[in-house]
Amino acid sequence: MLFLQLIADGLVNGCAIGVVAITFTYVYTTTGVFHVAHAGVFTLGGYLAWYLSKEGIPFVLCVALAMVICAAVGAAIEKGIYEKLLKRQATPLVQLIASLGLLAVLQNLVAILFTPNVLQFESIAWRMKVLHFGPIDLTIPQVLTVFTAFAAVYGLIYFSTKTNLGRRIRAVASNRTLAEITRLKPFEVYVYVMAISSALVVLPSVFIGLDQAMQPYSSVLVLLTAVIAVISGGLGSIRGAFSASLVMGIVQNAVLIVVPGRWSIALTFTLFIVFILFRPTGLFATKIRRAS
Amino acid sequence: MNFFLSYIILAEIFAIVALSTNFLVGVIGIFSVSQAAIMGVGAYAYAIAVMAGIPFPLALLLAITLCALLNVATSLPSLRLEGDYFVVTSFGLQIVATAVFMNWSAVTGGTSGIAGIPAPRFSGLSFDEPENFVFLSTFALGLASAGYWLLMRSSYGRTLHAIRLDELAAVAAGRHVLQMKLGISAVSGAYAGLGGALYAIFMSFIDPSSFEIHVSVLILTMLVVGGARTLAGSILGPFIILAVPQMLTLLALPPHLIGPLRSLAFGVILVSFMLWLPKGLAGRKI
Amino acid sequence: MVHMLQVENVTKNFLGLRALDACSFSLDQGEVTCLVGPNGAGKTTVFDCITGFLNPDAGTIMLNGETITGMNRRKIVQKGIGRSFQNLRLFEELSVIDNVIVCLADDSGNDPITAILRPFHSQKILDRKRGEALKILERVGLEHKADHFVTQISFGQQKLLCIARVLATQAKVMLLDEPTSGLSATALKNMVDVIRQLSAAGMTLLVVEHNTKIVRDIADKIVFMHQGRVLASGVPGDVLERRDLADIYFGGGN
Repeated sequence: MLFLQLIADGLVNGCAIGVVAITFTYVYTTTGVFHVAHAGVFTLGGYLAWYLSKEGIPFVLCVALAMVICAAVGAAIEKGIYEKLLKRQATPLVQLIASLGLLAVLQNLVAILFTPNVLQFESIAWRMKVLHFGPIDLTIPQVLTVFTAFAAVYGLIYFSTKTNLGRRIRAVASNRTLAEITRLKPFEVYVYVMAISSALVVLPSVFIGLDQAMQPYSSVLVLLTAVIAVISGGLGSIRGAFSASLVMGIVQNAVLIVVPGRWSIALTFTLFIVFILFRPTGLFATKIRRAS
Repeated sequence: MNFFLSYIILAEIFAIVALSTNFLVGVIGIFSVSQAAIMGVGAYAYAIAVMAGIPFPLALLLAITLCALLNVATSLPSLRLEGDYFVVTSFGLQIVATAVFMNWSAVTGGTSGIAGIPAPRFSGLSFDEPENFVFLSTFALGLASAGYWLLMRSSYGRTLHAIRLDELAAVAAGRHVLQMKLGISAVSGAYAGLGGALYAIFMSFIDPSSFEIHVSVLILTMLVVGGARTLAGSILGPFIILAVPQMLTLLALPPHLIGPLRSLAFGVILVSFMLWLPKGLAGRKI
Repeated sequence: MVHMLQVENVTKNFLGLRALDACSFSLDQGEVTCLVGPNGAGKTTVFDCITGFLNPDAGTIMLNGETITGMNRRKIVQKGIGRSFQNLRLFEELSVIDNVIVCLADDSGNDPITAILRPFHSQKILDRKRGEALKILERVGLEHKADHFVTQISFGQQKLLCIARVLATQAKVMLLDEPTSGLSATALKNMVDVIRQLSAAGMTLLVVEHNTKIVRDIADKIVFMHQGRVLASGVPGDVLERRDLADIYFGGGN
């Protein structure tokens, strides 16, 4: 039974990682920026929701407001920094260092404005409430993690295949040079992509924060796990990145039976290294590649 | 006086680590956010070896060799592939190294770290005191700089530049690109190991927080401010950046905010330099 | 008789598109062969297959009777096939002579141990390589520009430098991708002279060339390609007189 519970917890974690993974991939495949600062937006979103809920604002509104603010932050990052660098034809290395700097800015702003210490959503009473599903117990935040994750994934799939803006984004992602000629206005598209991804990444941040706790600097680990999932999945699609994250979450949790939790990241990373060192070509049909 | 000497010594140690970063970021153009991890491995390896009774030169050599090998082993998988794998391996190495420093308590002392690391003595002269240690660190930086200079002007150094500028053309010229990148990766590891060992000697105490990701970002900031791909840049950067915390202490800030404020400042510096001065103060285009 | 380079039935597909369709031709030592045909005929793909930048789906390529298909790119360079690129791909932040030095077949001194721990030996190697590179620059008439940066020399000189880089690899077979395109009249004459001299010195050359006048000037043989196929090969007189080929070439490719 413990095993089933571990699997279920793993699935929940996988859902949270999955949303980070798909939003990261969305930015990466469209704008070409290895957006490390995504982890900073993740942190910011969680803390904003925490702060607003502490002020007595209804929870749903807290999440919505946090998403709106993060969308604006994401758009501002694109407009104010990435766009400038891309227009100047800065190398990927320069973009990456700028993104790393942004990550430091966001994380430490959060630490200074709120607190550098571990904190919990004390004002939300229902966060500890447990629901029973046969032998499996899940807290309400865990259930919400799963629901919002699936909503985010299918919402994003619907958006990118069925709406005009979504299709325009995909067109830009597939060929930037062509997009510039055909007046798809790639730079405008990038702003949308960053705003959408930044808004969505607030969801897992809030629900992980609700279920467990938050700390300004731990999001790098979440992003790293998500990126590893994206690469291991290697499928380059929203669905692929999400499925790989689910597998990743389950494996990471199942391993807890034999390996203590504090070694789990070391194990994940070692497996990843072995994975890419001896990658069987069949498993990795496509490689992770930035948009060019 | 001691305060000033400590600043000089630390800046010199970090200049060696900045040179190590320079080999990767400046010379072959790959991102690195794990220099602190490698430096930490050097520091721990040296401390553990020396406290197990291994003489100073051997312990130093051990630390350097271990770091060179580690850097090669961790960069090999990502260097073989095209794409941004090295970003992941670099972040991963840093996070895993911190986890190992914290959790492998039997060897690393866990969060309490290792204290009382002895300084080497040469014929009655001990390097405990900054007044003496400064000679050791200056000498080490001198050697490291000479090594950098020699390497860059050799035919190997020129080939590395060529690889950064156009890898495909270098392959078409028959160069063994992977082997050359691994070679410089080993040198970079060795430099970080040397820096780490010197750090352990000077502080005589090490713990995981000295080699966290923030420190890696700090080292990258030093290189970015000084400027990539020049000797002057790697030496200038640490002297400037290490002065920042000193300036922050003048502002009478609440103590629990000093850490985040410092990191915030480094973040702002990184972004600003990338936007307006990617060459740094004394470097070249990256 | 064994040809210097023999391309036999080489086929290459890209995403279902047939870029090369059973291409066959051969090069003989000391001859200049011009590869002609409209844009998209597959000329650069032929280069990529010969040099190992692409693996052909079928067919064999032989150098002096030895099969080199499937060999890695570096090995093929060491065997003696060198190439230039249509878009030059010079190392722009390096000096003219350094561009040649890093391409020399001599790989000695290209490791960190020699560079750092044996500085005098390393310097000796560098001096030797410099001498060698200067001799190569003399062959293309660039020795007076040795210490200039690539960006400081003219386009024509940049194209000559491309040839010098291939020479540095000690190539026996040289593949030149449009060495004369975009050159001024004097630079063009200069380039033609250099190609002739190379050929006279025994070099085997495969040159992508669009200008029929130059083709007549330099070619010992012509390989005419269209839509991934070799439509004709032979001496210039025969191939260039063929009406059907001229129609393809000047009629927009179809």
